[in-house]
Amino acid sequence: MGLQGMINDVLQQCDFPLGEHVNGELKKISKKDHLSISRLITAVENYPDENQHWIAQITSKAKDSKVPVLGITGTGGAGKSSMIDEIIRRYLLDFPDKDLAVVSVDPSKRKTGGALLGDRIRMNALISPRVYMRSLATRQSNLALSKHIKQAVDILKAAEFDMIILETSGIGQSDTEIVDHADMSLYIMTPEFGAASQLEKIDMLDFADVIAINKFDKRGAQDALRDVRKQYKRNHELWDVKDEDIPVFGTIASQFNDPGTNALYKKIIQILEAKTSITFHSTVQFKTGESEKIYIIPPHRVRYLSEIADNNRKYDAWAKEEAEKAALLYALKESKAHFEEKGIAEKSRINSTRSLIG
Amino acid sequence: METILPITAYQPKHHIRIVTAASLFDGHDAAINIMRRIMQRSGAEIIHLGHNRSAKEIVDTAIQEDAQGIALTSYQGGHNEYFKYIFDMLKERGAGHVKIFGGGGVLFSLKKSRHCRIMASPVSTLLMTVVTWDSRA
Repeated sequence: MGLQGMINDVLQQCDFPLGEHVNGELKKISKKDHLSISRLITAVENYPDENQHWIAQITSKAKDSKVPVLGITGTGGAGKSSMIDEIIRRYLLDFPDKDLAVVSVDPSKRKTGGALLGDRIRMNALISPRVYMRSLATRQSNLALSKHIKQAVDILKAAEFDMIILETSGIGQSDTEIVDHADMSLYIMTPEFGAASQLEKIDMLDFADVIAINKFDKRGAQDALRDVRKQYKRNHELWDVKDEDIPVFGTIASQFNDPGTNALYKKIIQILEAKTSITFHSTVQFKTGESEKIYIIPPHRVRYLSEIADNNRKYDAWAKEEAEKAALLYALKESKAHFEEKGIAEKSRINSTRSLIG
Repeated sequence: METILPITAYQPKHHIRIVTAASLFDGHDAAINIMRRIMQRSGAEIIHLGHNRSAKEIVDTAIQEDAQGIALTSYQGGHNEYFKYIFDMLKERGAGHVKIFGGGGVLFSLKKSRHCRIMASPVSTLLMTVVTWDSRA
């Protein structure tokens, strides 16, 4: 059968249509009924034409909805999923009564049509029953966003979630599409963007409301922060604004209670409140400030144990050498005394023996 | 001499979405990683969860992602209960249509399981054991 044969069997068994006809799901749509939401999203993704009649209904309902949408985009591997996880964690803590929906878009492979939707690996906060998460493949690999993304977001709006996070695969120019689907957008990058002139090519620096420079513990992070702030100022013609007031944050999403991520979260809520008519009533005080890697062992002490071991080995070698010297010295000293004490008597005995032989 | 022709990939008629993971308390994800890569290459959309995932997490994901199938590797011996939990939970939550595929290490034997009868039709065992061993050789 072989591996491909086994997989073929699996795929064959799974090859049945979903979402061709929608029955009761439309009436049941609410943020508590994940099964219905899922099926509706599948329907718009798989059979947009067959389901046109109710999609229009959802679209008009979503039009009046005031559910804030946070768009997140950024370069691959910058830590978008980890950052979303951190934002969700803080949101759930901050608003014990609010729900949240996440839509993550990952690219389909042009060659095979397959896709790895791997955002859930990093998102541990999804375990909460207050979170709904859906991964979508672009199904056209040249775009950052799935064609049916608007309908998917509309369905989540109609389900009356309190907030929606929309994440896209970071593949360059088409990133800015996200601005059309979101109330505010966050761009996530790392300090490793190359020369400062590279920043001039990034469209999202024109459109993003907030920028996070994640992995801020990397080398050159402070320089990166200064460069990105400078570019943001140029793009937005904010010549008189102080550096600290530019919405660019250094963050370490992988670090617990990271002060930079806290500051970023607060800024996001603040901007969402300003841009939509929603008031969130944030209750939790988060410690904000500049992200700094908190080390269990500080960098200059990383080789600490090896230094001790080195020192011990050096001491051992020195002691062995000294011990050998001492032993040799002792042997010489003993020999000398031996000959001095017994040398004369021995000599005469040897001589008498010789005379006997001779 | 008879020549064995390479098996070509199945061409799906519909968009297939499958949730993949290694089971709870289990870090052996070599097999499922190979399996899911072949699925991806054959045109499926894979929602991968990594390793150490509970039955509830798997079922929640399958429902939220509206997947047609779940493919799991279990190496730690608890699969009889683990797969039954998933099977029951899916049914209970109105997602009985989701197919379960399992495979695992030396301990993996559904034939001996008293739950096997219940699960016989939706579960098709993949001998992922072979893959795990191969990848470790």
